[in-house]
Amino acid sequence: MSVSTILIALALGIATGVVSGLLGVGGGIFMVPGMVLFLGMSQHTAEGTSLLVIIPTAVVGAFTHWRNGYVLLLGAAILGGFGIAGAVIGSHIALSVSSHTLRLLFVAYLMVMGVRMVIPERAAAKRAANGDA
Amino acid sequence: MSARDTSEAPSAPRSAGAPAVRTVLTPRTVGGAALLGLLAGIFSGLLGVGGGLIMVPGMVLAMRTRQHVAHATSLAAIVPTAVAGVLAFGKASAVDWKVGLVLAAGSIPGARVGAMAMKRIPAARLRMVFGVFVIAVGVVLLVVK
Repeated sequence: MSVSTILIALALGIATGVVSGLLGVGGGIFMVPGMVLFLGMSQHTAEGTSLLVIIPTAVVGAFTHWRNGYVLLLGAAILGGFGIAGAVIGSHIALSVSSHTLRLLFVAYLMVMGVRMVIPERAAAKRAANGDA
Repeated sequence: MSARDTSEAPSAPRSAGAPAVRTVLTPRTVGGAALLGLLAGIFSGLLGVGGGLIMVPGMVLAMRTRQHVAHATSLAAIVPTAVAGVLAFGKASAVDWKVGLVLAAGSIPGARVGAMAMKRIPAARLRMVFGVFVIAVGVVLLVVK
């Protein structure tokens, strides 16, 4: 690994970790495009590596949140338990399609999620302004 | 746009001794959580993400979980989900362990900083910025070959 690769990965990791802990997400949305665009990795390897990094990152973030009294343990157990089943299905699909198809799927996901995150704030503000419940 | 954003005021900073967990588990929310977990897991395994972008809005909108609790619970649920995904990708040799190690060296302390900051930083504004970033990344991915 070159020095530039290490520096890019380290910076990407720090940004991912902060966003992960702050927003309660894995941070794959940062890491996967980062690895594909800046480190030249294939979509499949970027996704697999992202999942690997997510584990210790989420453990540290979740533990910190738990200490602060924010984690619903039973809720997390149900979500995570069924999450395992879903991940088995999802990764099976991912590994059976081409890297190009997978990349397009990722882009579609980014678009929908990005728009959804921006729009609901406005919709909620509009409802509040109109006095709707 | 910026004036409207303030209509959703961030919850007041809370002292460390006053946790905000409200029990939301009923047969209905348990069923909802199961469905949400399954969906998030599929996205996680398919796209190499945690699935928090599915779980957080799902918990807040459908299960009326408090914003901060939803973010924290999502992160906890991501752990077993990501383990299942890594096992599948690892078996297919689609994991770069060296790059992963360097990424984790940055992300682990980062997660600590982010999680501690969550109590203080207004979530609404950050989500807006993040949403714009997500769209920008999508556009870049579409354009760059």
